[in-house]
Amino acid sequence: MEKKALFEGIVREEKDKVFNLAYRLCGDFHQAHDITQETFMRAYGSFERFEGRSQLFTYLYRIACNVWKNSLRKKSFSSFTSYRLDDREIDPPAREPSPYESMRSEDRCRMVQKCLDSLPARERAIIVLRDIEGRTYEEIASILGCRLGTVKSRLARARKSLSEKVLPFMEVAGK
Amino acid sequence: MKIHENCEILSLYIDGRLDPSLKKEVDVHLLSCAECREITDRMKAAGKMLSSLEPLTAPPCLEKDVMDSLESRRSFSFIRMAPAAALFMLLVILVSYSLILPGKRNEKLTSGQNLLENEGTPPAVSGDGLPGAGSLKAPEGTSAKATTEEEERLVSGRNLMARIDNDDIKAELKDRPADRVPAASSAPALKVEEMKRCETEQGVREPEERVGMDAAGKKERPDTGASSTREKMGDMKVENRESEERMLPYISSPSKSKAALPEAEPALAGTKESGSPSPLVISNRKDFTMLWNLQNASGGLTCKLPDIDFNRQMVIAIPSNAGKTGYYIVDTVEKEDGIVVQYREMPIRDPAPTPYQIRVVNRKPGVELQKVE
Repeated sequence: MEKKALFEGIVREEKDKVFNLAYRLCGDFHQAHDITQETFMRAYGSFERFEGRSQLFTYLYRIACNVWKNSLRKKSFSSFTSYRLDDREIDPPAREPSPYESMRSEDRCRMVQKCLDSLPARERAIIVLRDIEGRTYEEIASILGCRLGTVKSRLARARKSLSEKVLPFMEVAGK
Repeated sequence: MKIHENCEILSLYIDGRLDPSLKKEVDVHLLSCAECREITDRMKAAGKMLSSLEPLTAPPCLEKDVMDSLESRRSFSFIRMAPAAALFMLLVILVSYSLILPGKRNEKLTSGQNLLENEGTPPAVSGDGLPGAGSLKAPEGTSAKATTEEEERLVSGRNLMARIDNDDIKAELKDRPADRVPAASSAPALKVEEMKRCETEQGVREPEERVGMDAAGKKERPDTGASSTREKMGDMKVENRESEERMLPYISSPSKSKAALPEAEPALAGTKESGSPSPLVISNRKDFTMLWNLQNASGGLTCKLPDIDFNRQMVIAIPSNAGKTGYYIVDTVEKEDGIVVQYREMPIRDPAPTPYQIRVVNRKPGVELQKVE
């Protein structure tokens, strides 16, 4: 019972971060919901094995990335109904910006997410963790279970690729 | 190191992860190289765009969904374990049943006996510990007259197996091999239908040699009128299939001994007419063990199996009674060519407690029955 109460607190604290990561990785709101849910379920199942040597968010992010990678392999999420941020049934942003800001923000979100989705999965994960989540190289290596050199090279490729993809939008935005 | 259009160095430069010396080189290169400067600017802009994305908030239902899914997963784990648990329980029940079954069988035999009529003398055990109406006797061939007590015990004893009517006896006679052992006209001793079935299953059938014995058996067999008892016995048969199978060797014993006793038939002609018990000649430990168990079970006894050297000895068993007629082994006389079993016939009020009278004798090729008054 104590474990469950403790874990409930963790879910409350970390769910937004995990959900955000999941959404940036998969680009689908409902899939992100499922990834987050599965992440916490797995975390709960192996909670005793969490020794606290890594930070809790690293632990959860690692699980979330594995769940996402598994979902890519199994294609188990292909049957999910695809909801995007522009689906009116779901209202993901918590704060309520002005209509202009909101529109621009939504457009920007859609555009960036589309560019992210076009990246290879491995590069996408690294650039999300680095440029969106702001994790260090070492943390990324720990979360994704790869070497530091790999993180550096993949991040460079991801940035170059993404910059080429977002260039037209940036020009539009600049105008 | 080549810096120009080296994305990795430029990426590390953006993140400030370069060594100070290399960083200086990159600074110098970017001042002079428009292409690398453009790449760096675009990468910075892309990174800035990503970092400027507003963090999403998880849907309010997520927390509840997570906690609910934890509960459901626990239930799911139980469901996954359910078949294994059910299998385990089934195994436990089967093992328990197999352990309880032998005791239950004995209990049923005893209770079946009680069903018939419980009043009577307790099961007799001979001085040698043999659970028979007769005594286990050393095979000296010397005579030992039955005592009055023994006779009385026979008369008042109970015998579950004797309560089988004429049809059963006929069936037994039909299926009995013709050997030197006298053809029984009124001594079924065992569940004859079971015997028949067992013989049939084992293929122990010699119809030609049994024809003559049928006629004799039909003539002399008294009608016990115990059909209701037979029905009870029938129920017990169904419940005690295993014990039926255990009786098989008793049936096969006479036919097995037939080869060793080919010329005994003429000596038994007289006994056929007057009605004689149907003896079993047992020459191996397995059959004797089963007979012993049957005696124990029928009499509610737990006598230890006596050690008999079947290389030089054999066991003769005659039914304690058939219907209202009881049989008692008075003596066994050893001759060169066989054993003469002297028995006495008497009316009885109740069946004997054990179905057989058992004697251990020296192994001989033939067995004759001799009725004495």
